[in-house]
Formats: sequence, structure tokens, C-alpha cells
Amino acid sequence: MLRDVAFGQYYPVDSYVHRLDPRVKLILVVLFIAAIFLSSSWAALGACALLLLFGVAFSRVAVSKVLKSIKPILFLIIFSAVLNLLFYREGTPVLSFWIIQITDRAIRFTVLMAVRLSMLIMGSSLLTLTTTPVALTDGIESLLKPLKAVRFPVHELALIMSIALRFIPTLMEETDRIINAQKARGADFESGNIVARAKALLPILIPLLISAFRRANELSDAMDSRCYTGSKGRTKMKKLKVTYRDHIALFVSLNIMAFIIIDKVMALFPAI
Amino acid sequence: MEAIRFDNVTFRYNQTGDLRPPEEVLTDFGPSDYAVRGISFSIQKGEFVAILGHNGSGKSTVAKLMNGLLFPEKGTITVFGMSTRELEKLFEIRKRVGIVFQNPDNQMIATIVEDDIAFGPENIGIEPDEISRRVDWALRCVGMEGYRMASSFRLSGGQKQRIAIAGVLAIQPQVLVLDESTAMLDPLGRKEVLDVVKSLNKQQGMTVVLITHFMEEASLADRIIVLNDGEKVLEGTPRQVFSRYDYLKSIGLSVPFAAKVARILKDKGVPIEADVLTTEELFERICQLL
Ligand SMILES: Nc1ncnc2c1ncn2[C@@H]1O[C@H](COP(=O)(O)OP(=O)(O)OP(=O)(O)O)[C@@H](O)[C@H]1O
Ligand SMILES: [Mg+2]
Repeated sequence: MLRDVAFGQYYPVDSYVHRLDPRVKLILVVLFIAAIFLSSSWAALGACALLLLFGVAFSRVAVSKVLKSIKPILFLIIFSAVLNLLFYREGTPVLSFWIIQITDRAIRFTVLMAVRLSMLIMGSSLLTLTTTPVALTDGIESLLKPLKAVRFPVHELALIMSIALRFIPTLMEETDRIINAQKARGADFESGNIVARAKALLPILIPLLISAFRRANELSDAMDSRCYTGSKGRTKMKKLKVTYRDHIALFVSLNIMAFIIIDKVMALFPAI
Repeated sequence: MEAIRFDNVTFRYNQTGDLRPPEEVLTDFGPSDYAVRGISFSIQKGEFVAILGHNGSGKSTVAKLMNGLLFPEKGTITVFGMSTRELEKLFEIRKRVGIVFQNPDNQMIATIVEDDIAFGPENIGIEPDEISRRVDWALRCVGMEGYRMASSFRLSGGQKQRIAIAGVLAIQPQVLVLDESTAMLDPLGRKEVLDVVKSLNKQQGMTVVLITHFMEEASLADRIIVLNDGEKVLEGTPRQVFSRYDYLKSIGLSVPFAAKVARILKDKGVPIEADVLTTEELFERICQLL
């Protein structure tokens, strides 16, 4: 369940979005997130939604998969919506009973925030659904390449990220196993105050840590055996290449984002 | 042609952090401190050799000595004419000797199968198109063509181990060393992996070193080397080795089921030769008696 979240959830089909250069996808996602938070009018938000819709449509990823990505933060969205609704005080009250007063502006703000958060999550999970972890880290490596000039270990960082993504499901499985093993020995994780519960976690963390070190040891032997000697003399199976696809995607996205920025500027300076 | 040669190899894990030369330290330790003691053997190109031994007998240490993950304290290890001690040759040696380890989960670098298999060829600087061809070829060798874009954590144990083998094959080594690579698998997964190994040896002439403590697996080999407490105690064809039932038992090993049955029958006075390896063979011999 938890291991399907966010990472390693690559959706293996061949599509327009899958074939985009990971660097372009990374940049687009960052711009998309910025655009979401710039949008304060319904028109601008609609433009964001349109962009997201394009992304999903051309990715051939099942819509349910994209929608499901909201699930882990659904609680957060609802929780913040309730708070916004109750404590946003500006505007004219449309509903009031007992000590609760809900204004029209509060409703607007609540919906705006909920839509923004959902789109943010869907947009970024579209990235991980259509990009393999290695392509993603290759993209990050390539984007960070200028930092090599100041001796920043870009290749190593990318490798570490890729290995971390690879081991998340393995270590989650291991955690489940250790929890069950400790429960079978009579460990109690559910009762007691916070301190007692934190203490109860120790018998999980220590075996997990030891096992992680053991795995790291074996992994380093396996990497040595497979001739790993660092980034020098290394080639890549998938050369990153910006193609006409990326140009089209960038062109469409930048147009939509330009619209959002103009919309924002017009809202700030109504005189223009 | 000789692929791997061990000459009087001795090795011990440095548990003391002692920096003195090994000759001096030698006197401080008893022989039991050594994981490998004075082992010599030679493996020819194209051979299928099994290494047998109980837990802690030094099998994994021997494997890691073969491609310079560990260096001998005394003696020499020669791989295709290169000593593992020459650091500048190490890369060439590792290109020729690939090791598959016990736990597939701890050998995969990437989440997606094709990225993981590409890791080795990328390290030795192969051109992108050729890497892609090698990934296809390696997947075909292990019978997993359809899994190129699969996520490794959704595969079964046997499938994962076959991907680990493919990851080593993609480097196109001359020698494939499997260090208890079937130990964590169920009988079906074990069979999958062994079938792959057998066909690599028979069809492509790959030199195979199979480290195991399953006797049935060892009986597939051309030759068996038996280790006990860091020493080589027996070497010969499976028939020769498994005919030493009492000796093997005394060092904590057994023999294949069929050999055991034949041996018991022989002890009971049945006129049967005890050097059988498979149950089919045993069945035939018993039929001949009737
Ligand atoms: N990293 C290490 N540090 C110290 N001692 C070690 C280390 N690895 C193995 N040993 C010791 O070296 C000896 C040989 O171990 P080795 O792992 O080679 O045995 P093995 O035959 O592979 O056993 P198994 O069947 O359990 O895999 C054992 O006594 C073991 O305790
Ligand atoms: Mg071992």
C-alpha cells in the first residue's frame, strides 16, 4: 500500500509524455507548480487544469492512477479546507449559526486551495508516473552539471538518489517484517504516552539500521563486481536528447503560463 | 585455456586492524583464524565447476578472491594470466569474472529492469546502442524478454535472481560465479536459475563456478571442489566425490538423495553400485536388479 506511493510507481507505457526529455519534464513541473500558486483567478486556474489535462491525455496513464495519487494527502487537503472555511473571516457571511460564520470569500479561498493542492500533487506524480527513477536522476544530474565547476559531486548525488529510490520498497518491506517479528515477541507499539511509544520504536530501528548496513556492504561488492569505478569513462544507455517533442511541449506550456502571468499582472494593476 | 588459477592461496579477514606484514602476524594466530588456507586449484575455460562446503567453510571468500574483491595474504590468484594483485589489471579481471551473489535484493542498483542490466555495460564504457542490444540479449539468455520495463520489486525471487544474472551477463564475462545464488529461492525458482546456468554453460561455453550447499546442484557440474574450514579437502567428478559418503558426512555434508539411497541399499547387502547421482539413474539400476 504505502510502497505504491510517490516512488517506484512508474507506469510502463510508451507515450508522448514518456518520451519527453526528463530535464524538460522536471523544468515543466517546477514551472507548473509556480503557475499554480500564481493563479488566483478561475480563468488562470482553468488554464493550469488544461495544462494538466493535456499532460494526462498525452501520457496514456490511466486517469484513476493520477487521481489516486491524491489519496495519501487527502486528509491534509480536507483538514486545511475545514480550517480555511472556519477561520477565513473576510467577505460577507453567507452562513452563520452558533459561533460559526462562513463567508463567501472563505468558500472561494477554500476551494481555490483544495484545487491548487490537488493539482500540485497530480502534476508531480504525473512526472514520476511517466519517468523512470534512473531517467529522473539522470535529468537532475544533467541539470546540476554546472555545479561540477565548484567540485560538487553531481554524479555521486544522482547515483545516491537512484539507489535510495531503488531501496525504498525493500526497506519498507523489511520494516513490516521487523514490526511483525517484534509484535510476535510481544512488543507493544500502540499503548503508552509519546515517550513510551518512541521507546518502543527502538527495537524496530536498530535491526533496520543493522540490516541496511549489511545490505550496503553487499551492494558495494555487487557494484565493484560489475566494474563500477565512478563517473570516469562511464557511458549512458539513454542519452538525454531534446527533440521536437520537447519543443512542442515547452511551447504549449509556456504559452499557457504566459497567459497565467498576464492574468495575474492584470489583476494586480487593473488600470492597464 | 586456463581461466582461473589459485596457487597456495591463504586469506584471513583482518579483525585486528593489524598493519604489520602478514609474515610477522602469522605467528600470533592459530590456523583457525584463516578463512582460506593454502588452496590450489585450476579452472579451465568452458568448465562447469561446483564448490561445496558447509557454512563458514570459506566458499564466499574464495568467490570474492576470484575477482579481486579480496586479495590473498599469501599465494597468487591468476585470472586469464593476470594476477589479482596488480591493481591496474583489476578492471580487466572484473570484466572477465562476474559474480552473482546470494540475495538478489542487494545486487540491483536501479528500480527498472533495463536500467539495472545497463549498469554494468555503462561502467565499462560501451556505446549506448550496443548497451541496449546487450540488455535485450541478456534478458533473452535468462528467459525474461518481456520484463525490460518492469519494476524489480514486483518480480518473484527467481525472476529477480535471473535479472541479477542478466546484469552480470550484459558485461559479457568469460566466467560466471554464482555464490549460493539459489539459496533464497523456492524449488521452482531454483530450477529456473539452474536451467539458465546450465544452458549458458552448454550452449555458449560460459565457464561457470557454482557455489552451493545443495548436493543435487553440485552434481550438475563437471567437477566438484569440496572445502572444509578453509581447506580444499576433495576434488573430482561428482561421481568420485559423492562416492565418499562417510567422509562427506564427517565434514557436515551429505550426498544427493539417490546416492544416499543407493548407499543404504548397498549397506543392506543389495548388489548395487553406489555412484549414482540422479533418481532416474537410481531407478534404472534398481530395475536392472529386478
Ligand atoms: N567480513 C568478514 N569479516 C570477518 N570474518 C569473516 C567475514 N566474512 C566471513 N568471515 C569468516 O570467514 C570464514 C569463511 O566465511 P565465508 O563467508 O567464506 O564462508 P561460506 O562458506 O561462504 O559460508 P556460507 O555457507 O555461510 O555462505 C567464516 O569463519 C566467517 O566467519
Ligand atoms: Mg557464503
